[in-house]
Amino acid sequence: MAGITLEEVSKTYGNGFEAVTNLNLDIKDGEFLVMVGPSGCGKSTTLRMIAGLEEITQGVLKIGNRVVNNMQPKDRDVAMVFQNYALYPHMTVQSNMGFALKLQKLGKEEIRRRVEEIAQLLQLTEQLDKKPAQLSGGQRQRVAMGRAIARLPQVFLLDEPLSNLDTKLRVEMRAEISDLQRKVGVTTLYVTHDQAEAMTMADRVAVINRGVLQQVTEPQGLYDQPKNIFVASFIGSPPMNLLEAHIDHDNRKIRLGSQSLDLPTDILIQRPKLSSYSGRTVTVGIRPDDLKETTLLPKNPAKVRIRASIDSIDTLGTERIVYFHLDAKPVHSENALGRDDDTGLSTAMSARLAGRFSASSDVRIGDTIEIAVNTEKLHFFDPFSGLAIR
Amino acid sequence: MKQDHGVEGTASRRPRRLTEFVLVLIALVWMIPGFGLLITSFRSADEYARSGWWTALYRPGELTISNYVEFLSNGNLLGTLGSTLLIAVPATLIPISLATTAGYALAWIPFKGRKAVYLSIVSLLVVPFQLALLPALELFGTIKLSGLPAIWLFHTAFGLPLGVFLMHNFFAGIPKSIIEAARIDGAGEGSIFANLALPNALPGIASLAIFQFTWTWNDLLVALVFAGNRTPITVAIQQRLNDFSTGIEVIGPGVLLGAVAPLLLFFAFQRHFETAMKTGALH
Amino acid sequence: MDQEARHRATTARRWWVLVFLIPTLLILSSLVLYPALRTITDSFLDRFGDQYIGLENYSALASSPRFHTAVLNSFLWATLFPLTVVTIGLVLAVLIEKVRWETAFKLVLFLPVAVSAMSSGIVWRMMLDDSPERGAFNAVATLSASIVSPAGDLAGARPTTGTITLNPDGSIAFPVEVSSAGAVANLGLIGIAEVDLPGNATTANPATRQPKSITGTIWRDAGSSNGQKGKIDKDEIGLSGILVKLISPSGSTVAQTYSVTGGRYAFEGIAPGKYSVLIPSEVTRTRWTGIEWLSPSLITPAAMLAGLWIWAGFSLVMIRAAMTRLDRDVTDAARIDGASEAQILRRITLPLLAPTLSVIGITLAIYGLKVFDLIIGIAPEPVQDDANVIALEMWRSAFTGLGNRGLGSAAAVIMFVMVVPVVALSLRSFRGSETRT
Ligand SMILES: Nc1ncnc2c1ncn2[C@@H]1O[C@H](COP(=O)(O)OP(=O)(O)O)[C@@H](O)[C@H]1O
Ligand SMILES: [Mg+2]
Repeated sequence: MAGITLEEVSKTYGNGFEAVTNLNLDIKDGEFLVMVGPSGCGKSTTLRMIAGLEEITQGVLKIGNRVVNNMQPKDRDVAMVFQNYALYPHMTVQSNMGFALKLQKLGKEEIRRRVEEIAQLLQLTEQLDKKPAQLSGGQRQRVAMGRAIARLPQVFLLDEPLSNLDTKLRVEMRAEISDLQRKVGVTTLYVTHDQAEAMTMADRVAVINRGVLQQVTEPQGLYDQPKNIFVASFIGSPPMNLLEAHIDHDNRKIRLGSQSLDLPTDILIQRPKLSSYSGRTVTVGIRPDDLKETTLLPKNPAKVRIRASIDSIDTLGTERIVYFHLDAKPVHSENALGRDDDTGLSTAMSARLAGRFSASSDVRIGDTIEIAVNTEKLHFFDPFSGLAIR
Repeated sequence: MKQDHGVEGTASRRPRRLTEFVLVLIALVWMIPGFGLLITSFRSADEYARSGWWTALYRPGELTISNYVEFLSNGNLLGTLGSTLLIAVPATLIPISLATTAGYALAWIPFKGRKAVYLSIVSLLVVPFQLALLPALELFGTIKLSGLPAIWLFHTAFGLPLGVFLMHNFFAGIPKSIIEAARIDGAGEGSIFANLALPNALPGIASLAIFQFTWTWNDLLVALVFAGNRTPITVAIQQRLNDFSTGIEVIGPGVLLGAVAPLLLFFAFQRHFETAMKTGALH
Repeated sequence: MDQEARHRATTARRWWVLVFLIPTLLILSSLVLYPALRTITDSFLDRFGDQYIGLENYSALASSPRFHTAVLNSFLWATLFPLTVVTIGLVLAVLIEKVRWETAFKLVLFLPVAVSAMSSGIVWRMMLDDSPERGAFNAVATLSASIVSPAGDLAGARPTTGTITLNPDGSIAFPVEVSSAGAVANLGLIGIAEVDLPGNATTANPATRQPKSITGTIWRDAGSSNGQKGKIDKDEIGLSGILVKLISPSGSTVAQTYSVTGGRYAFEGIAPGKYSVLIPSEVTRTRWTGIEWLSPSLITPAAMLAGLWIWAGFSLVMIRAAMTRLDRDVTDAARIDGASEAQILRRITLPLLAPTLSVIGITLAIYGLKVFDLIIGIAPEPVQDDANVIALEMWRSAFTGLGNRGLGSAAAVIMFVMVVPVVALSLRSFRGSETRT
């Protein structure tokens, strides 16, 4: 077993495109780290560099204590699960899972024993003699997993292994894979664009955008204390509401468009840096969970409420997501980072917000209601750098 | 030592150099025959008998355009090129139109016995055209057909099985939903064929055109049997082969001029041909 | 109403089927099916196609050595030829994979497909001309051979008398017995080209016997108007600068020297005993004149070489297209699984390419069985019998000379019989590739 260390790793493709920039990442021995980010942000590139399928342009890559930058894939002792599984179409399930062992010149008996053991673990015993084309999507996925496990590698690399499955199967497999990883205890780097997968499976999550690492921490920390606007809006569903707000000169109140809210009295103790923003404009983030219907919170003081009329409602059975507008400038995370030509501040004067109401709420579209804001949990970001203010 | 073996990209440079060297050598070997012929076609028969074409590389004075002047000013020889064109163009267009329509009907119009008809046409791929030469000659004799039309018909007949096979495969590759949507919109078979199927099958048609044209343009045997006095260039060259070293003055330019048309067609249709290759529909 | 509309649509459709299919079916049945069947029945008729003569045509073919050659060659064209072309295409496809000028390379190799088979034969007939003066191939071959093993100073020299032996390796040996008075060993040679004579050649200078020495003269034992074999006659030329060795009975070299002006040489201070004076083989080694490609025994390989020139590009392009259609992740997966590049090729790429390879192979096998123009182009008249193939034989029987319809038909039928198994194979692999995808 071994950890993986990336030090200032960059990748520039032959066409000059820089897909990964100065990536620093330390995956501990036995850890399950999920790398999450939008499609095209450089996740596969990172995995392929670790696997040895892609040359590292700059920086140092270590597996265990060895620098492996110039090592062939076969010498790195890693196993990889591909998004489309990449099973050997001309081999049976058994041969697929045993291929690496055969290359290691293990005895026939030994190979059979190990393959059968793993088939058992993955409930593939019935399928051992079939070819990949004869399997269902879920079974193929498990064969791909089995092929990786059979090797007993030092490191597991999984590239969006569940994205070709239907929703129900995907949720099932999440649990299966985490269980499996815990059983085998192999250092694992799991790549996905699905934040729900990241949050449910990971020991720690690394958020990456445009080839740049944004934040690495355990799932709850990512949700509670996003480091910047990108992480804030990428993690959580529906995403965090982000809008421009004005803080008054003594940090008592915050103004959202034409309405204003009282800030908690201890706000500066929790977020000392906010003091330098008094009398200035910031980006404020409010999670939908922190917007509640006042009728259910009769004791909620009037000073932390906003008035709005409901535009639309998604009824999900366990909860209702309500949408409404405020006359404040919305902020979009896509523009907030990376490109210095754009500050992320939009010129539109109306922001659409989402609130997570309980299923028993009986608000209707068109109703103008008062909405309670959990001001304890407001997030503040610098409007220019997009970084969290704490 | 491991350091030497990088991953892809850095992959060991020295063997790759060697590979490139070998490949360049092979490419040269492949070009030399054509190049040699090109030079030979600019040398007199005397020179041909005396020394190798490469001597012209250091004695360019040997080179003369007289072979070409002779060839192009000789009505008979020039006529053979014309005959070849007159043979090949219709012998390409006719089978392609027939194969396209037939292939479409077999792929997309449902009717009883469709599969049987398709299979029997494709099974005719087994028949080498040599098997049909004598009776076909006799048949053309009884209906008083000879020369160009006879060659066209014969080439058409033996181009059809492969043509139908290829075009059927191409049409079958068009998503069913497209054609069904058109039917629901009320399009007739004629307009579906012309507006939907044909444009989609263009790579296939182009590939078939390359095959059939190259084949009919370059054919010798069918022409020997059916052409009569419509001598194409291949036959004209063949007649001079027995006296190779004097015939070379005609053979050289003839072979080169004869290769021009298929090459032009190939370059013209290259893009379509590549598409067809990429989709793997040619298998 | 709906039903009526549907009925109308079906009728229209039927009409289209007729329009689309009838011409094709008509042509195929009258110009392929009917003639093919007629040829089969004709093969049992006499040369004019009048009289039934049973299997006589077939037995005539079976007893004709020329036809045996044709069948053997056609068999090679249907097996060895496709195998070679596919193998070379595959090797090139693997080599070209990481090279940047792949497209240009493919184009260069693909272009000969456009050239007619007869032209390709003609081009290669010129390339493979036996004479190194005219055939480029032999010119290069002899040139490189003369660098690797240059011709000797006396290329092709032979002794003139029986006392001197010409060894199988070309060396020339003269056995001598030396007494204390010494011995003389004169080596008379012929078969020496004018160009190999020393520039300042002088007449031969007879050696004199000396004690404890072997002396002698190396000379061209010809050129004197009334000279005698084995005797140094007037006007005969001495060969200077020639390497001679003295060999002991055990075979080891005792001494070596070069002849001087007048052709004289001497080994001095030699103990009495039996020796042999030797002109080594590198001195007499002749210039290599290349491979006789257009000779009876090599004409078929030469024709296949021309065929390879045409088809290697096709094979390469098809295989490369199939390779790029393969899922790159699969080979990457194998790479991670620990496979070396060679193992990936053998265990992953090749099996996945198998359907393509067999389709190309079968296409080429069918081409090989029908090959005709290529032979006409490459084989000079005298070796056409040796390059014979069934298609050529069929044409010769049926259309040349008086023309023998029955015999020609029988040859065509045999050709057909050879094509059938190949196509049957191909249908199986077509079906194979369908179920795979
Ligand atoms: N071989 C390549 N050459 C050039 N650009 C590439 C190559 N492979 C990927 N890219 C680019 O690099 C970026 C990151 O790709 P990738 O790592 O595959 O993203 P993802 O996060 O979706 O896995 C993308 O913009 C992609 O277009
Ligand atoms: Mg990816």
